[in-house]
Order: sequence, then C-alpha cells, then structure tokens
Amino acid sequence: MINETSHSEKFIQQKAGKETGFRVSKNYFETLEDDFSIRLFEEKNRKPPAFETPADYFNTLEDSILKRTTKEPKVISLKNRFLQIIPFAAVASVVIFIGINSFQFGDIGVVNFDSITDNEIENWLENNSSNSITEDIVSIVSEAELLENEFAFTNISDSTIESYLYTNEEITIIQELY
Amino acid sequence: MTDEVTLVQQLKNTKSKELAFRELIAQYKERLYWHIRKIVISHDDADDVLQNTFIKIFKNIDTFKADSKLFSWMYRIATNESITFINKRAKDRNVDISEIHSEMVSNLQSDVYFSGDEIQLILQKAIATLPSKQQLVFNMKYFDELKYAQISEILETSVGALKASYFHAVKKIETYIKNNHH
Repeated sequence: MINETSHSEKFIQQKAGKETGFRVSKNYFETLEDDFSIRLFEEKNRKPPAFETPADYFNTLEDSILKRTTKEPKVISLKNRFLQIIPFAAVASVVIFIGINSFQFGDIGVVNFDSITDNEIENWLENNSSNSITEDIVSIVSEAELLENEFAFTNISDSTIESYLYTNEEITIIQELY
Repeated sequence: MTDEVTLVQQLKNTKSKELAFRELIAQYKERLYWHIRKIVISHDDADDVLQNTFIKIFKNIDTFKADSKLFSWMYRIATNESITFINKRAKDRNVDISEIHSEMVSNLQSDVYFSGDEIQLILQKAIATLPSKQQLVFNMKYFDELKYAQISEILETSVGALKASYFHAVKKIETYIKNNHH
C-alpha cells in the first residue's frame, strides 16, 4: 500500500505539481488583523434584536395556523340576508318616488315649434348660413308636400326664388311652409 | 515571535488577551486561511470561515488545554468551521454535500482568485469527487505536507485510518487525471 500510495502521489505531482492555483486579493493578509479587530468589536458589542415575540409565540404558531386552515365553511342564512336588504330597499323606493314626482322627467325633454319663441328662431337663423337654411327647410318638408308643390320648384326661376328669399324674412318663409 | 506557551498564557489573561490575539492572528492567519480555502474553495467563503474560526478561538481560548498543540487545536476549529459551513450550505439548498463540492469547483473557472491551469483545475475537480474525510486528508498531506501524527491530532483519527484514507484518495485522483487529462 505504501509503494502504491507513493507511486500515485508522484504521478499527481508530476502532472499537477504542488500548487493549488488559488490566490488572494492584494494586501488581503496585511489587513486581516484589523478586519478581525472590527469583527471582534462587533461581536462584543452586538445587542440583542429589539423586536420580541410574545411568550410561546413560535411554539403555538403551527396550531394557530392549522386552526385557521381547517375552519368549517361559514353558512349564511338566506333569511338573515333578506332582513339585511329590506331597510335599504325601502329607502331606495322612497327616494325614487320623490325623484319622479319632483322632476317630471317625461315633460322636460320634448321640444317642438310651439315651445320655441320667435326670437329663438330668429337668433338661430342669424347665426347660420343661408345654405343650411335651405337644407333645413327641405328637412322639415315631407316628401308628399314636395311632390304636391313640385311645380313651385320647377316653374319658378332661381332668380325669382332668390329675390323672394332676400325680400322676405326667414321667419315668414318658415311660417308660410307650416 | 512569541512562543506558543507564552502566547497561550497571554491569551488567557484578560489584560493581555486582545494584544496577544493580534499576535496569534498574525502568526497563523495564512496557514489557517489556506487550509480553509482548500475546503470551501472560494475566497469570500474562506474569508468568512476564517473570521468565524478566529472568533471561536477567541471565545474558547480559556477552554484550551495544553495537552494538545495550539496549532492543532486551531486547525481543528478551522476544519470544523469549514465543514459546518459546507453542511449549512447544502442544507439551505436542500442538496447533497457532494453536489455542493462539485458546484464550488465548477465555479472556479470564472473565479478571479483562481489562476490555476487546466491540470490544476482537473486536480481540484478530482478532489471534489472524494468523500469529505478523504478530501481533508489529501489536502493536509499532499499540499500542506503535514505528518500523519499531526493530522491524527487535528482530525482525532488514528494514523492507520488516515493512511488508508490517503491511499484511496491518491488512487482515485490518479485515475481521474488519467481519464480526464490527455
């Protein structure tokens, strides 16, 4: 065994030598005593952590966690749920009733010619171009009326219509159409 | 340089303890460092373990008995600290110790504190394949050139058992090199 060991040892030494290849940073060993003194100071002056736990906290932790995980599912009574909702439903009904009676939602939204004053129509016409007026006139005249009065647009020359439009106020024209 | 007996006396005296300790570190830091380094491989880990070793020596110097050499006692502490360090790492990662050894060696190629050539890397890889006890014996006998009697005192193992361990270690390393280096 001794010879074999020696033989193998020589083989390793011939191949790899006695160096490990490990090295250290520059000046590592020069500062080691100082580093250690610092570490020793820290060790000596180390204070216990300020945070504490209640007595037996960790001993009973498994039990308290397991208790929570094995808790039976909570059953919610339908009757109780209804009893909880009823007061809110009653309050909501009263609010809706008062709202409907106070604001009369249906009447507010409808706009027709009877509810628009002549001044409002004139202001609108003044602020819009003549082209749009023509389009608007067409839009309020039904197709049947247009056919009935087809002659009015075919036999009358453009210049006559234009001079009519210039000499008459827009409101008069609209009122005539209606 | 203060002799070992005087140093131990100074270390056990509260007044001279810190100064004597500085002396102790100065005397043994390199030998202990290289012993640790061969076990934990990386410089950063070796630095951590070396510091822990000296802290342990400082705290336990009063329990040191003169029936063994101070050097052997410190070497034993350094060995135990290194093994504890590796065991802890293996436990933290939930892997086998042999896996930690091979992982540490595989990181050597990119380690800035390793300047070994290909064969030196192969040698480290070969050592990593050995059981922990054989690794220790091989490193202490082959690199540190300690006598079996010294290793026996440090590892508290019989000389016969150490010789057997070393025999198996060198045979396995020889085979590994033959298989992996052309």
